[in-house]
Amino acid sequence: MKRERAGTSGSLPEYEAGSGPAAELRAKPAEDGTLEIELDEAAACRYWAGGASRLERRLLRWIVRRYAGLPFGEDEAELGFAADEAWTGAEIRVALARMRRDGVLLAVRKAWGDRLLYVPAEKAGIWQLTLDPPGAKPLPFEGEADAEPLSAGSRLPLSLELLTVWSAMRRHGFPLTAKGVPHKARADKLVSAMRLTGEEVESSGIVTAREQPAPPNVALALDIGLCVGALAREPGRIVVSDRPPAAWAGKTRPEVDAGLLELATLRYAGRDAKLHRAATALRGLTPGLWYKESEVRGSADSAAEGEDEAWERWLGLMAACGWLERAVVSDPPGAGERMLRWTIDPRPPGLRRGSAAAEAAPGEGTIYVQPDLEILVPPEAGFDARWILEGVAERTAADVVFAYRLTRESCRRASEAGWTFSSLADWLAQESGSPLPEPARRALADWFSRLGKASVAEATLLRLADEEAAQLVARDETASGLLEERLSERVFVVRPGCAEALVRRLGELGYPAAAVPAAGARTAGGKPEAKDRAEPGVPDGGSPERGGRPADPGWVQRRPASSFYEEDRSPPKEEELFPGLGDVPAAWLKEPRSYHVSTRRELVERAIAWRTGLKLRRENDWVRFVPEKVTPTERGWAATGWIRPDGETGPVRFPRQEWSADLFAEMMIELPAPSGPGPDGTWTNH
Amino acid sequence: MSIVHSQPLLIQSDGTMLLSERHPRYEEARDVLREVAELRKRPGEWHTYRVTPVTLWNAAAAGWTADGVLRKLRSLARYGVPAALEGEIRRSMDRYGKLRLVQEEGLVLRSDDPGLLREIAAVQALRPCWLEPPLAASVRVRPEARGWVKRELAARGYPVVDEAGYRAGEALAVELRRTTEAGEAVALRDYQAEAVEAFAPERGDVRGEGSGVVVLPCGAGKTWVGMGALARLRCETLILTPNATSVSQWIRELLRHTTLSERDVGVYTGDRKEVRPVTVATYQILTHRKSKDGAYPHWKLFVDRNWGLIVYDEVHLLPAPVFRMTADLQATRRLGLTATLVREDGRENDVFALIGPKKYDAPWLNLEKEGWIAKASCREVRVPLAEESASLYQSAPKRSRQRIAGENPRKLEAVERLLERHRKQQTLIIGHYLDQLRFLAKRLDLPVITGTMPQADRQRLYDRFNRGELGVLAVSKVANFAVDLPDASVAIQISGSYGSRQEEAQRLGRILRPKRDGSQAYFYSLVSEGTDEVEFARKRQRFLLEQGYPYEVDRFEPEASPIGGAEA
Repeated sequence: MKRERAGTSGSLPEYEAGSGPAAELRAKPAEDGTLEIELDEAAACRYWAGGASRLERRLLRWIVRRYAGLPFGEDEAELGFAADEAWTGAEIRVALARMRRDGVLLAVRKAWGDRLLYVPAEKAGIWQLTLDPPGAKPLPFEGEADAEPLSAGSRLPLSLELLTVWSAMRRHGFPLTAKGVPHKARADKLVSAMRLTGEEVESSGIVTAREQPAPPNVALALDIGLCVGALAREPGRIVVSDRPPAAWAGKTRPEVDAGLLELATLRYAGRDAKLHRAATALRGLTPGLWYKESEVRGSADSAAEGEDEAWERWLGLMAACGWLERAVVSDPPGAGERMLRWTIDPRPPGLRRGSAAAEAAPGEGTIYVQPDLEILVPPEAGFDARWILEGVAERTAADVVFAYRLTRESCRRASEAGWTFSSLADWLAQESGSPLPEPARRALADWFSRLGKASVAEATLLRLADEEAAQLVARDETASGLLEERLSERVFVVRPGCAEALVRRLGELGYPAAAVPAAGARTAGGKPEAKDRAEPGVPDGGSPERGGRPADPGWVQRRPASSFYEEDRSPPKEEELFPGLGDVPAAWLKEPRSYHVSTRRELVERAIAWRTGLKLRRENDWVRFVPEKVTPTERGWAATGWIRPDGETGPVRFPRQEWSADLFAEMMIELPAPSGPGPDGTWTNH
Repeated sequence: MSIVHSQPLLIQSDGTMLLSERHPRYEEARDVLREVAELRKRPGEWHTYRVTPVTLWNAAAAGWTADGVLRKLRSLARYGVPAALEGEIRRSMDRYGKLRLVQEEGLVLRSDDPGLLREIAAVQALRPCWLEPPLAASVRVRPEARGWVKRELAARGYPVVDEAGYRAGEALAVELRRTTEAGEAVALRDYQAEAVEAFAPERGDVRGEGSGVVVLPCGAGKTWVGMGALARLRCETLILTPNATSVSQWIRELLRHTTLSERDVGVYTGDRKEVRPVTVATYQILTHRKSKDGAYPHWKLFVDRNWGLIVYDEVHLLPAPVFRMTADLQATRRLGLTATLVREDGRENDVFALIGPKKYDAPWLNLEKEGWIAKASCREVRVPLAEESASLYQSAPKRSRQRIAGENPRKLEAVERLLERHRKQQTLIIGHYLDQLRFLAKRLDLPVITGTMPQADRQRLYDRFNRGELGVLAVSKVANFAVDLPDASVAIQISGSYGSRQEEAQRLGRILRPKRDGSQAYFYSLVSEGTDEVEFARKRQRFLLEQGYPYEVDRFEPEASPIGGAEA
């Protein structure tokens, strides 16, 4: 269960914390006085949806479908939804305001004051699965028998593909040119070692060769690596961290892949509502079971223009990432029917509760060290162990199970990284949960016996002209504390980083010495080069912030659009929803009355401006008329609009009618109920 | 047991299968894998198997279906069966049986799948094999192309079930004796009888049965299976083996355990060219020719008589030209005998297509448990270099170092101590360097066998060793293969070739015959400490380690302390 604090969270404006239905359910004071909200996201969404009106549910469904987590204009949403369903603009605006109040929608404000709304990206998927639950049913076992796999060759789950790419970068380095472009030969080598191809990434559209200078599959590996902290930019190169990303520490492979799918959905699919919709619909399926693609798409109501293409792009990417398998039924009946199944748990974090990630029992260990020096790493092994093995052993198989081999050369590398025989042997025994097999222990002992016994190092020397000075220095406590080793009567090795202090101390002792150039200072040319000019599309990475907001850490720019604008936490006010409300006679809103024909026209025009309805008496009945325009006639004027039925409505279109002025006998303007501002001027339920 | 240990089998997309021997369902899984995969290694808890098209065809030939295999694998797999592998299993197994070679007034290739025949008809390399343009469901095949068609199609992933039958061959009145001349009972062990029955069922359909491979571990008595098949089929037989020593041993076994007399059995080697109702020849003589592009003059051996059966001993060593000859002999029954179907040259397809599918595979561990092969203890003994040798070694160029390390004079002292320890056991001393062997033999007053010794002299020494008249024999690499020294229970390897994995296994194989007293075998490998020989030895040992023979390591103390370990 995820826990967030309203006081510090940016996803829930403070004013909502105590008033929204989801928050009402979960809020409780924390020990430090802040309000702690237990956000079981799926339950909160279901709770909200249960208490919401039909309009709100349909409107939110429409918004998620149309925009996913992308920002949209209030007017655009009002007009768009009103074109699709028979609700008044006022009803829609009020519903939007309620959703803002409940934290379902957040708002940002552009520089010139226009407000944009958006569903928090991390919740868009949960909303979709709550309001549009998948209807496809998994196939029984027999359905698998006649299926031909569609995927080309075996795929690694993306987590492991990335591990192998980053490992290659760690071993061989990843230099960048002065313009921030990867060295071609190095990038090509990575491309050739990857199963996820550049074409697959390019055709998914999530990262393209046009927008950045690396091959798309390598760019994806760079982008994710930089985002999760596995990689870091340094001048002229990308470096790989010695440790696994903090967010992956202690996690199993399935858990890491689930996290990567979440990242991919938010970062890549989140930029395209159709793609996001397809991505999210797929995430509602049960892992490990086959489904007919047609049923999955059908249940997601994906007939809208461009959605088929989005489905195909995302399915292709998921299969290429090794997360999803596709097959085609080869024999009748059903020949040609496409099927799919997840190989990872795709559910969004908020919907994944108590998922049984396979775990080893205490003491069992998660890797197996064989006597022939082979190490088997099953899927449940933690990423920490995998990260270490990439450094201390040679990978021999990268599949469901990874296999490594300890060799003399791998031990040499391990030694350089600081491992000793006992530290490595102990670590292997600990990770495998059993003593190291004797042949393996012996081989390691043999190999390490000659490692680390010799080293070549660059050192700063202190040379003294005579023995007297040397004795003085050796006797001086401060100076000798800055020295590593005495090589001869008059020559000492200076401790790393202590040269300047030593020069100072020598001066104090009466032996002023020439200063030592700082380590790493450039000698040729003298001055550091000007900052590299970055290629278009390549973030320079030098500045952590842009325009006061954190810069996107990735290789390609994928900041959410909403992050470009200023957050708008102002509560929705009635005056914004109905401009001029204060200037309107209260009676117009209170109860139906008869008015002069010119006043009637004013009421109609006001209703049109507010895009709301009028309550009218027609003969002995009351009707709700939603005027859309007023036109002059021979007898004065007439209003064109539609009759809104009582109660809730939906995706229907009612015929337009023209009503002459004399038909507006008794009338009032109807604002959506419950309505009206609260004591603090904000729009709440009455 | 935790969730992750719920099933014993880890299945990779490329067909590699890792089986935990500690799992309660190990035996169940092992029995399935024996049928559908091949064992690659078993160095520790996890045994590595591999599913290949050939193993799947063998499984299909044994009656498995793709659904059956997948159902079994799914039930045993900890993480499921990868979809790509599922597809591969279906594809490979579904192809088995789709093409059949039958006799219908001539040789005909038949298929119920017209699309498949169309596809095959389009293969350019096969066109010369057809007697006439292919029809929708069949194509007439030239009789002499029977092997070629099978081989080419297998190479393209299409196994052919050969139901065209075999020639009976010239009849030969032969059976297994009841007792040897010395009065010992002659009988096939259960698993040997099962192998014979699987190869040539007593009441079998002669058309469908009669060719294939029997897989038995070293020392399990493959020769007996050959003799059993001969006695079952009672026809003239050609036996092909890797070397002359093996020829002698086959002949000795045939004469000792069957009713064949000396005039029935011929030797066909470089020295003698006898063609008799049962003829034993070497692969070497068959592939001998005067020039690189010349003809093979001894191929005629295949057609000199009306053979009813050809036995290929150590079929995993079968040289490529013999495959070509075998392709022309498809009307003759063929029996392959081997300890492993894995070939270093990767020609498992050819074995399947031209010799036949696997007919029998005995579980190695069961044979060891039942005492049919000896248990062996492997021990590496590290022998330090004396000061002068160490100095010589350090200053020598890299290419000379291996020899200096291999010929470490202190190994003599170590050998003496080991001989003292095992003084009551038949011991082989095996070396790579002849000078070293001769020096050692001279110092210890031992007979030595090298490649320069005439075959008859070698055999005399082997016979004396087998009779117990010689307790220790020094041998060069000539004894690596197919030398039957059943009572040898200790082998001391004083030097070996660079990292040859096979060599180590072959040498161990010399002492795996079960001992009369049920005692175990001991294999010592002497390695010069602190030299590259340690790494070479590690490479050589890897193969044995992978076969389940872990090495222990001792250090030889030149002066006083004894070598630790097993007591003789």
